[in-house]
Amino acid sequence: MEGALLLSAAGLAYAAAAALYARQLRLVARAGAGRSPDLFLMALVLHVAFLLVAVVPEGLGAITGLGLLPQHFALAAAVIVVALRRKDHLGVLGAFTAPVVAIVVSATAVYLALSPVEPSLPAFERASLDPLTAAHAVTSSLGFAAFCLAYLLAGFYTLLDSRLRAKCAASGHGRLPALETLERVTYQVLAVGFVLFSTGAVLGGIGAWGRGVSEGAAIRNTLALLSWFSFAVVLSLRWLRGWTGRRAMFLVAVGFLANVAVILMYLFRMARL
Amino acid sequence: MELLLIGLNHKTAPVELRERVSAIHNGELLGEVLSWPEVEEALLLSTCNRFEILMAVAGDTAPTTLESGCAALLALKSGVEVERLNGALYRHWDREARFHLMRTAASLDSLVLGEPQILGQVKRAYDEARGVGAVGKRLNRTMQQVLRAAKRARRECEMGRAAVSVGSIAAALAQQIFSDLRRSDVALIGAGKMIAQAAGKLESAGARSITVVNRSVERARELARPRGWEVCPLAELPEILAATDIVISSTASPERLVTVEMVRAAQQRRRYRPLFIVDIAVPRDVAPEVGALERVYLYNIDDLSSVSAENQRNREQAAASAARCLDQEARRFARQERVEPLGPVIRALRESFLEVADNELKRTERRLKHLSADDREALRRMSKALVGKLLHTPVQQLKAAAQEQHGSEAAEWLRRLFLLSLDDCGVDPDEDSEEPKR
Repeated sequence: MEGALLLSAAGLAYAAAAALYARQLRLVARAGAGRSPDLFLMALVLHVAFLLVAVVPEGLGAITGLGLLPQHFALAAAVIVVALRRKDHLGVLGAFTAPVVAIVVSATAVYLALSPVEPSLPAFERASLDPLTAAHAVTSSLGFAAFCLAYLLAGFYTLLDSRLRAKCAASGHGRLPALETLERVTYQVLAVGFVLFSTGAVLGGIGAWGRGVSEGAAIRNTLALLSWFSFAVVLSLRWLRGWTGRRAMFLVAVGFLANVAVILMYLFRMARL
Repeated sequence: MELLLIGLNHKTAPVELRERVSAIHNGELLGEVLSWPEVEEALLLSTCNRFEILMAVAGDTAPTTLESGCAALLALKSGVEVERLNGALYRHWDREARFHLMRTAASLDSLVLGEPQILGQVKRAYDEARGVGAVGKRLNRTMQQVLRAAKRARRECEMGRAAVSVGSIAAALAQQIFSDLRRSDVALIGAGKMIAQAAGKLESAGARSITVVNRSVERARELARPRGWEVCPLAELPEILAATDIVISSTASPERLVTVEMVRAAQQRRRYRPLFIVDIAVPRDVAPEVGALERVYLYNIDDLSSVSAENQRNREQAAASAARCLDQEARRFARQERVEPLGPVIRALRESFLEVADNELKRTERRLKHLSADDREALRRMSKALVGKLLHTPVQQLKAAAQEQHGSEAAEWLRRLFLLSLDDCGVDPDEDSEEPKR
């Protein structure tokens, strides 16, 4: 029950941070808006406390429980936003991330509070997985969080780039970070996601070794490979030749959409772990 | 009539008249105005676009006498004919005076709408007047209200956010492209005044280095040397492009100086870092096709003009909402002012009720000698609380009524109704007419 309370507190703090971020996005100078990153950080601390107090003591099964995968996704997104705010003025990223994280966290808190089974956490674990597959699921969801943020940043980049090209950007986009910052941070987050995604893919491959491959799994694997390949091309060309700009952002979008398709296949049971 | 603002600005007076009036010695003028018996406090605001005197005057002052006295004094000091000056002067009394000053401080009345300097100039004028003891209680309160309202309007409506000059637009655009201008190098193609002005904005925004590229190296040196910029001949333009982040071009050259091939080669060498080019020359120095290259942002004079026009529209929209904001503040101050005369009367009323309660309490205590000290204290507290509670609703109602009408009328009724004497309860009835320190 204390897990549900901690998570509810975290959800509320994320929601409050989201409201302040939205206010900040509208008008930087409004009172209280400048406190949004601090509130977001507080929510993250509560979120981590929930994992340490309520989930970790339940053991590996609880940590890697399928029901908690959205939590890992939300936590990774929150960690990246907090890490980025130290260096760059990326309030706009927080404004878009905080509401999503607040919804994920609050939904889990409500589920935990209403769960008819005591203790509720094991009930949350819907499938018993072998450690390798569980690690694959967790690293993949962390990587997916990074890809989501990279895609969001790529979207901001494309928006600002097209406004600058349309010669109407001088006043209306002061709340977006500079184009150069958006581009650099997109690649940093993409690189983090790529490492996690690759690790997840290797772990999943080893875990599934020797098992038969269903038709659904073959499509999923192809999509995952397309996603991995797109990100690999973007990252290596940038590293080798400084290749950036709208075309690179388009490839980021391709990789991300392939990744979303993989996740959707899991959610709709078209492929199994 | 307690507050008079008299002055002229860029809307009412041409520049030759403004410069003659602004040549008046401020200290002398302030001293003369304060020597008049009607004027109790005064403040002088003198900028390149306006000259205004704000005065707190005695309540029985005849408006026209003071207005014509001010006009005559200004005419005498500036050497401008009084008839001509009268046509340019505006006069605002009381709330209009305060509202005008709010609009001025919030930059709604400025030549360049939303410019930030005026707020500082108003503050400086206030500080200077305070420094010589020319400001007392009334102008202090007025100026606090004015500054507070202007700050709120500027903060909430972001009036100065959108840039309108070529240099500031270039700097604003560069800040949207580059994360840190301190790591950005600027190249100027041409050595004219306009390009220097535009580069000056980038320099103050923190640009790391500025190189002047020109056909005539001598002319480039003339521009660059006093400012500590570097100089380069036009022949080295391809190398400069490869090492530069921001290019501003303004030459009289009839042919294109920057071609697509040149920029493409430069972009390869600079690993496709963003390149921002501002071409303010007519005919254009930079081939228009350059703007289609990846990560190159090209703005010509028409683009800058359209951005400027868009920003001017944004400023006008912000100004409209700032005006609404000032209107709210002015109404709030007016409500406060209507309630203020009630303050001493309410204090006197409370004192009188407490006195009655205290007398009754003492009489009761004489009859109830068996009461302990704690019981007596409890009775005292109860009587105080009773007075507070009995007066709470009437006082709130009075304040509400005073907000609708004038507070002094309600205060007068209270004084008559309860035979209140303000002197008896330590309240100075002439509190508002405090003399300034001169």
